[in-house]
Amino acid sequence: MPDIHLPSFRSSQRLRKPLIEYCTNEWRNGAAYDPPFGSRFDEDRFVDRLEIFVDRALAVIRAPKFRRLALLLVVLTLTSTVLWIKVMAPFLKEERAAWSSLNKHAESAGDGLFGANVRPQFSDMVYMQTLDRSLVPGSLNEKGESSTKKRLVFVGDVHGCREELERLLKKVKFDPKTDHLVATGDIVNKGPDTPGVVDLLRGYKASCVRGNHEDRLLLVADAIKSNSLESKKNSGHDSEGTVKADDEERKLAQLLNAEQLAWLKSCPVMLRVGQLKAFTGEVVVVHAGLVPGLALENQDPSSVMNMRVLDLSTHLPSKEHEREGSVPWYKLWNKYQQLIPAQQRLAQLKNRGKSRPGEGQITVIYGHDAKKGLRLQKFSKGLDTGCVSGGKLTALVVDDAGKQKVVQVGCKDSRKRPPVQVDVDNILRKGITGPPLGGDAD
Amino acid sequence: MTLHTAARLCLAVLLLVLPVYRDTALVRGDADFLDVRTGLDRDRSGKGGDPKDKYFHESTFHPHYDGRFAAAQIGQEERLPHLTALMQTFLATMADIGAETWIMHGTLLGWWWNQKILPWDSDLDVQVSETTIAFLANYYNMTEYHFRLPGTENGRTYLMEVNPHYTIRGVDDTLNVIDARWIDTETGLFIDISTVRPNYTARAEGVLGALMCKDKHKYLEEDIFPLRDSFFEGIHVKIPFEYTALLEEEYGKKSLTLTTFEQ
Repeated sequence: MPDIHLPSFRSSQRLRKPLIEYCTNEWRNGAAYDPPFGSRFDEDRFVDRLEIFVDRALAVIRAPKFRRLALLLVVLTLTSTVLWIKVMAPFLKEERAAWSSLNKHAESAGDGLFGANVRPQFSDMVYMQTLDRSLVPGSLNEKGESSTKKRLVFVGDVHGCREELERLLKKVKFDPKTDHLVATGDIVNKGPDTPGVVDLLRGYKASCVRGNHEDRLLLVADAIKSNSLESKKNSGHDSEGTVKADDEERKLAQLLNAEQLAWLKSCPVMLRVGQLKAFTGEVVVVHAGLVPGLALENQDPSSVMNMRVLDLSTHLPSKEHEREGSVPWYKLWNKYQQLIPAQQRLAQLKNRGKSRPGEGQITVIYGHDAKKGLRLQKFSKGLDTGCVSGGKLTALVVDDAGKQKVVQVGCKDSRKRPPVQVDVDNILRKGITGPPLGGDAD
Repeated sequence: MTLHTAARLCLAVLLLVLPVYRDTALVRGDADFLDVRTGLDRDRSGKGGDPKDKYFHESTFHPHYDGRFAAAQIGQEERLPHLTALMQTFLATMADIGAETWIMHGTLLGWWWNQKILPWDSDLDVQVSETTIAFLANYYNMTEYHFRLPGTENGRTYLMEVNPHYTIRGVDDTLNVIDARWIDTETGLFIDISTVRPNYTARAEGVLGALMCKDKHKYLEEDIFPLRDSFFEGIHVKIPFEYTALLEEEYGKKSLTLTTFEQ
């Protein structure tokens, strides 16, 4: 075994330290050395730290708990953003617009708002009527006797659907002795049996309001009767391009007898029912709607029969279903009714107790808007559920105890369609029409 | 003999041709000043500067006066009762002869606000159907109506004058967009009567009940008919069915809601 001479430093005490300690990098301190990158050392450290950080972060992210948490956070952020953009912001905007639109009343005493004009007067049109007290459940007449009527039955747009109306009345167990029937307009037209419906309502001595269809029908009936050189009567032979709806009204006007037309003509544009236990404030029946902040005496009759939306800045009504800058009339109406008590108190304070009989709250019962369907809100009750186009016929039954109930029956679609379209529909539904081929026939 | 036949032939040709030209060539402008002269020495109808085919002329001093009957404007205070009487006599006459007419444009806006003429308005607009204008042209053209009105000593005479170009349907006849006038022969104020006609081009494209006027206004039958019965300056007047929508379309929302509105 050769004697291996270990290096002498091995045994030395000084050499116990690791070799690396002896590296002094003296050259760095030499004047000749100019570090090419001053911060290289720092940068290295930074990169190291970054790496460490990334590693740790990755570790944390890889941890299942954190992943779940992160996922939850992302989902929450997304939903709240969507909620804000899609629901909250429009809602707030709408609310703010509606309130500011109503505030205009208080600020400028109505200038710039619909209804500043003199109300248009029309001959041959009953504008307002008050329902006889003896027909209002729970009310007392002049002698102090209570009304014999126990229930009021409000029915939405019937449109000549006699069978459905009969079924509905059977379903609510209508008894002419104790119940009074009120139709919210659009009794006529579109459906199969307008004269039948009119006779049915007349038979029950029902109340009604004038709808847009009655309005057109009655004016057409007047035009047919008048002996002036009327533009359309003489051009009867020239039927190309004339409006279909008008032709129907012409036929219907000739179909109805004088008494039926007279009864329809007696329907007012607005019917004041008075106080009912079930509703807040006075109850008024109209066909389409009312403009808030405008006295009943100043409502534009054509708008009352036609409106669906109101313009926010001017309260101008429109019969369109949707419109930019407009909201459904009942939205503004309900908000406005909520404001009334406060306004009255304010007025009372201003007048030092001299209480003026200001406007009270009004609950409106209406039809007209089948697209929106059944809409029951505190101060507005929409009852048109599109019976004639296969929807439902709706009755709102209100009794003297303050209970209200909605009763509906289904309707069959009785819209008249042009025959060609029916054919196309049949073909689409059943495939090719014609004699069925041998084996396939069932 | 040959001369005779030639003369006869000429006459025959003339007789044949005359009716064809009657409506178009010979009636170029409104009734001649000398034919309808009331008390003026000079025609101020503004005919001189107008193209030959233009029938009705705007006077030299104001577009809403007929220069054949007036030499100058009348004051606004004085004008309003004159316009009111103009409208009342027109509506009464049309009701009497059974011709259907309804109000439109600025006049309808005046009706909307207070069922009266707007005090600053200087013209009145009414519309009739094609049947009615033909009826007026055939039986009532150049007829005069004398009314004994309260506050006037001798009453006033009104003239119904129909523009023979009413038979031309197209909107390119821009010189004759007014089909008739109801003229106050004392002051030269008048009502513009324009005809609402079926718009056959639009109907061919599938717009049911499309209507048009020569002044390029477009309507739908269901917006105008059936007409409503109302009151204007205290007497019966017909109003288009969808009056709110028509006014909104023509003048904007604010015209129906702002008490101070200018366009």
